[in-house]
Formats: sequence, structure tokens, C-alpha cells
Amino acid sequence: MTRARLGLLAAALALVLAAAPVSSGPAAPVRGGTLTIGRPVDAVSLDPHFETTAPGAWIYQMILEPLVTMGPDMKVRAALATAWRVMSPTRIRFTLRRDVKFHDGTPFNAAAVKFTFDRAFDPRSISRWASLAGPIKGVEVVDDFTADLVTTEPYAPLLHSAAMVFAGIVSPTAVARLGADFSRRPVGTGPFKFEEWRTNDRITVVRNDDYWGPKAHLDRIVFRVIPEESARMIALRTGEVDMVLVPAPAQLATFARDPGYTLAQATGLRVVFIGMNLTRSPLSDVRVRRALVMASNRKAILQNILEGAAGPSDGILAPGVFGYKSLGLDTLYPYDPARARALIQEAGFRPGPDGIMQRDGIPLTLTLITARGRYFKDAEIAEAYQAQLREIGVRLEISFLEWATVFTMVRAAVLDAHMFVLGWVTTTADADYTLLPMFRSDQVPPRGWNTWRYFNAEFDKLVDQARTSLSPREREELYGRAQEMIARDIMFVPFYVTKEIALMRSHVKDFVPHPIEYNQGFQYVWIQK
Amino acid sequence: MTAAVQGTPHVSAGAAMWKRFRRNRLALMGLVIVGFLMVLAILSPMLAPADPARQTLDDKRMAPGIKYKLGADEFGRDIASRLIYGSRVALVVGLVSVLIALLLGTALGTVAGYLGGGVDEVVMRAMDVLLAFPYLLLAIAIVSALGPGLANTILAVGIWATPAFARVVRGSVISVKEQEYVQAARAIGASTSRIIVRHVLPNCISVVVVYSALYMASAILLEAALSFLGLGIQPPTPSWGLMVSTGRDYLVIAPHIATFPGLAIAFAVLGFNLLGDGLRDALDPKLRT
Repeated sequence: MTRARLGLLAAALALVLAAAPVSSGPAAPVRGGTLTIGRPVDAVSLDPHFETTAPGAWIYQMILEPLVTMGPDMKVRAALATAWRVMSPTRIRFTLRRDVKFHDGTPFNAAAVKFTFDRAFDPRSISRWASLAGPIKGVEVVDDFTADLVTTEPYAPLLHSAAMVFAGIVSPTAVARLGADFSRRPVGTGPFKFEEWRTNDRITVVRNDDYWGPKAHLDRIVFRVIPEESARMIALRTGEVDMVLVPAPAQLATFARDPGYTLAQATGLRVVFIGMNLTRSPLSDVRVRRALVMASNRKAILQNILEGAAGPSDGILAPGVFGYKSLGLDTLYPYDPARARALIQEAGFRPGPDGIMQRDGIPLTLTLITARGRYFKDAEIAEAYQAQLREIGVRLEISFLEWATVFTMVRAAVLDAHMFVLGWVTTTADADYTLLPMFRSDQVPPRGWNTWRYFNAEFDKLVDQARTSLSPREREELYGRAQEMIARDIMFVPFYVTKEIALMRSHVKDFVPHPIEYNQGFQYVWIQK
Repeated sequence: MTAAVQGTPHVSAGAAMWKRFRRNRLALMGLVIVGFLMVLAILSPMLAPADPARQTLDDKRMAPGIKYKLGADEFGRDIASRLIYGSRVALVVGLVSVLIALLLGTALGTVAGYLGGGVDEVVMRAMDVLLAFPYLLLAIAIVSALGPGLANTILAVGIWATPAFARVVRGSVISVKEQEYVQAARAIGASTSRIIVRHVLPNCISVVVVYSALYMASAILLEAALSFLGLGIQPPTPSWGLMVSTGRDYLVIAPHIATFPGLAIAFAVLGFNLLGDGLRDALDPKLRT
């Protein structure tokens, strides 16, 4: 094996730890059956135009297909495009499949591709995923089955943008016919068709028997919303569901030992963190922010709350993302309540009679918003962090809200909370996807994801340069510097890097866990009779 | 028994009541339980072995033993201390919400019962609307509108219990207002407010007292239910309902986390129910079934 191939293999392994398909045994796939999946939250929307988070993407990725997709090995594969060629630093030419029809019978062609991108990048109604896709200008139709994806400036990770689940091609006639309703009844070309959505109860998709590729084995997949962790686990035990997403960490060991169940996991690319709103006093003061990191016992939380269901994180990027650099938080801001207290006092606070720090008679009370069960142990982490902040005299008031409410709040122009629990997947596995929309000065919501309201012109310059540079080494160096700035100005406490875990009854075969949680491989699952 | 009591005219009403109450062992047990809870609530800081909000993550889900008498919860907090502090939440919510219901319900019931006619219709139909809601649904609706938290939980429970008090008070007012002594008071020119305060309301006291005790039990249960659903008391304040709610995730591997607060709720509800039943029997022997 050559050194280059070894290197590749190592890289692939690092990304897709344990991502091997669940052993299917000698049996061949059987057609038919319904796969019922229990998951904690409902979709916000089934249209990447409105939703770019996993609860919706888990489902629409099977309905709407992009031109190319990212495999579980994190390599770009053909989907609706059979081939692609980089024509220039700002242009990729895609050759499209000729045998594809949308679920409503509309033929798939270059015009549909153009329609999808025009819809997303229309400056009058910029779609949710457009802000994550880079400087895409649009699509130019070359002929019926050839289309060019064009950017306004050189953009290194362009092919990865096209491979995001969000870039699924939509049926132009269905969008025209359904209007706003399309987001609840999407029509694409995928192996499954939309059937039904009962809000906060279930979403059902059925097999597309006219699919252009290998047809799905299952007749139907039902995504049920079961918010309670214990209820989800009981539903799995009783057979009410065949598979559980976001299973209870404390019960994983028990289920893993039981031959009646299969545990599938892949090291993920999502970092779950508590973010800080820099526009709210006293979080505008970097000393306070540093104290808030030093007050967090991240190791104890990882060990005792995540219990092995997630890995340590040291930054906003997960290791394995291009451009990742460890922020060195454990060295810069180690867990040290005494030093955290000292920093808070440096910022002008003094302990009050009840032990809570105060300044000018006003107690240091911070508000935090979180969902319960959107991310692994999100609410529990918030509660543990609350107790840890109390040790340094900071009162944390937590609002446990529905995920849709948290999403709406962090996406609003004004964020009405000091802190928030959020997770972020670098969907393209390229640092640009995260460092630009989350930190660039012009990316404050609703436009982008600069939810902390971080304004640093120097930083902006670095990510702009890295985006247009076509030299991987230079890009890596620029992203390294950008992350040093983030470490210095720290505005979040990262708690873990996800493992994408699904727990299923062992008759469920060929589920392929994907490092990007949006792309979970439900498509070719089958059920052993 | 009724005859025996009536046959001792020299005994005051209060003493007679106490005598009847004392003979009822279950009622005494209720009184002891309620008294015990009161002591726990008042002396929480002295009785609790540890700070109820302090987490020792490494001790998560530790079984009952030497270090934690009733075990540690999923965050490594002392369950015994949380139960003791939780009695404060239960009693405060119970007492204050029942007080709200008592004041509101008595006022509405008296007005409706005494004035009758259109006023009665309007007030009592409004109460019927509230009563028509399944009890948890009404409380959830109120808390959803006002937001979760201690004060709003109290308010929700109070509003939920109001119609019951209004109805029972209205009933007694109606039965009393046609009595001869009330007509006599009216005949000698006593004002309406004087008649209500001096002659009508005292006759409602016993039924209100009994209802208060019984509704304390329901109020504690409703608070636990709301907190269980995440709509009541917010962490880190220890509420029994909240403790059951989070503990249920670990029922299989650490059943003590949800079991002890569950028992505490059952214990408190039992105490107030026994007390209420006892009071009813003692205050109004004719009601005895």
C-alpha cells in the first residue's frame, strides 16, 4: 500500500470511526415493511429553504436529492449529476442524468436545477441554506442536461456546497402549485416520496417505485416524535419503534450487550456548545467570558452526563474538518473556579450577601435558552453548567423551550437572552462553512449565524482570504489564525463533539451511520422477516 | 353518636369538634403527617444534610447508602436534601394557591348565592366554563399563557381550584339566606354586607375548611404534575414533581431517583386527604357517610 493511500485511509478512518454498515449477515435484503423511527423533535420544515437543521433534513434528504452527495466516507459521489468538471475557479460544469422524473411526473433537467438555485439565491427571499453555501451566483443552463454552478469569486469548497443535503433539487411545478405549502409537502426525485406530516406526532415517507437508482427496500419510513428519552427507550423495548435516534446514554451499555439490538455509531462533525451574546452586558467584557469558560467543568460533564456517547471538543470545529485547529481551551482557560471568581471581580463585581456576584447592587444573573432533547443531553448540560456557575457566584436562569422556539429566537435580529445552547455541524467538512457564517461581522441573524454578534474586521479579512485562496496550505494557515482570534476573544463554551448514534432492533439491517447527522443512511435499510 | 354530642350542651362547639376528631385515628394520622411536613418545610436549612442544588457529578445516581442516605440523583445531588427542601415548594404552592381559591371562590360564591338572579347566572356559568376543562388542561393553559415558574404555578393552581370553592360556598349561602334568623336580621334593617359577614359566612366556614384541606392535597398533586411536565417549578429549585420527571429517565438503572420523590408526593397527598376527611367528619357529623 503506498504512503499516499495509507494517508487517505487514515484520514477516512479518522472521519468515519466505526461507520461500517451494520452487519447484514449472509441474508440478502428483503423488500417490504415499515421502519418506525423514534426521535426527540419534530421538523421545523421539510424544505431547506426554511430549515437547515437535522430534524427536517433527516427526512427531506430522502425526498430531495442534490446533484452530488457526500458519502459516509466524506467523499463526493454522483447523484443527479453523473459527472462534473471544474471549468475555472468560479465554475463547475455538471452533466445531469437524463432518466429522472420528479415524484409529480415533472421531468428533471437543467432548468429544474436552475430553478432550485434561483429560488435559494433570490436576493428578495434568500433561503436559509443560501447563507451557508458560499458566494454562489447561480446556475447557468448550458443545454437540457448540462448546467454550470457559478460563483462570484473563487471558492475552494464549492463542490462540497453542491453536495450538502440542503442543495436538494426541487420540482419547479410543485413549488409553483403548492406555494408556501411546499415546505410541508416537498416534491423531489429521491428514493422516498412524502406521504404525511402530523405536526409533533409523525412524518411518513413511502418508497418511490419509479426511482432512477436502486430502489429502496422499505415500503415506508415513519419518523415519530417522542420527546421523552425514557419513553423513546421504552418504545424501542416494546417494539413500538424499530430505531431510536438520540438514545439515552445511560442505557447504551445495557442495550449494546443485548443481542436483540444493534448500536450503530460514527464520529460526528457536530460541536455542541453554550454560546454567549456579546451585545448583552456583562458578556461584552472578555474577562467575564473567560471566567464563564473557566467555571465550566467540561470534563466532568463529558464523563458523567454524556457517558461516552460523545467525544471531547476544543473549538467550534470538530477534529476532522479541514482547517480545524485546537483552541487549546484547557490550557488557556482551564477549569478553575477560583481564577474564574477573580476574573469576575476584576470586571467590577463583588460577592453579594447571598453569594451571588453583584455590581452596583445588581446581581450577576444570566439568562440561557435551551431545548430539551434537540441535542444529546442539552438540557442536562445547561443544568450542570448552572450549578457550576453558581460556584463562582453567577446565577443562571434557564428557559427550557421547544426547539422551534429556540431556533426562532437565535435566528431573530435581536437575541433576547445572554446565552443559548446550540450545536453546529460543519456540513461540508470545510472550515469555511462554519468560520464565515458564524463569525463574520456581516453574518448577524437573520442573514447568517453570527449569533454571538462578534465584530472583528481583522477576522473578517482572514476568512475572506481563506475562502478565495485555492492553496490548501495557505487556507489552513489562515483558518488557524482565525481560530486563535476566536480563542482569544472566546464567546462559547464547547461541551462535546457528537457521535452519531442510532440504536435499533437487530432485525433492522444495513443502516449506515454518517458523520454528518443530516445524511443518516435510512435509504437502503431493510427489515429481516 | 350524633345524639351523644347533642346531649352534652355544656361542651363548646370547638371542643366537641376536637373530641370527635381525636377519636378518628386516620384523621390524627393526617394531622401528624401534615405537621411533620410543616416542620420539614420550616426547618429545611437545619434538617437538610446538604445544599439541595449542589452537584457532585462524579457521584451521579449513587445508590442510597452512607454518603447519601436516600441516594444521589442524576447530577450527584443529595436526594434527601432535595426532598426536604421540596416540601417547601409543595406546601407553599398548596397553601397559597388554596388561599387564593378560598378568597376568590368565597367572594364569588357569596355574591352569586346571596344576590341570585342574573348575577348568580353570570358568575356560576363562568365557573362552569372553568370546571368544564379537564383539570390539568386548564392549569397547563394558564401556565402556558403566563410562563412557567413558582408564582405562575401558584396562580394556575389557585385559579383551577376557585370554581369548586365558589360552588360549595354558593350552596351554603343559598341554604342559609332563607333561614328565619337571616330574615329577622333583614327585618330589623341590617345592611346586606352585615348580613353576609355576620350571619351568612360563619355558616360556610366549616365547609370551606374541609374543602381547603382536601384541595391542599389536589394542589400539591397538580403542582407535581405541572412540574413533571416541565411547566411548573424550574430547576434548580427542588420540586417533587420535577424530581420524578427527571428521575424517570433512569427508572431502569437507578430507580431510587424517581421513587423517593414519588413516595413523598403520595405521603403528602395522603396526609392532607386524611386531615380533610377527618375535619369533615368532625365539623359536620351529619355529612358522615
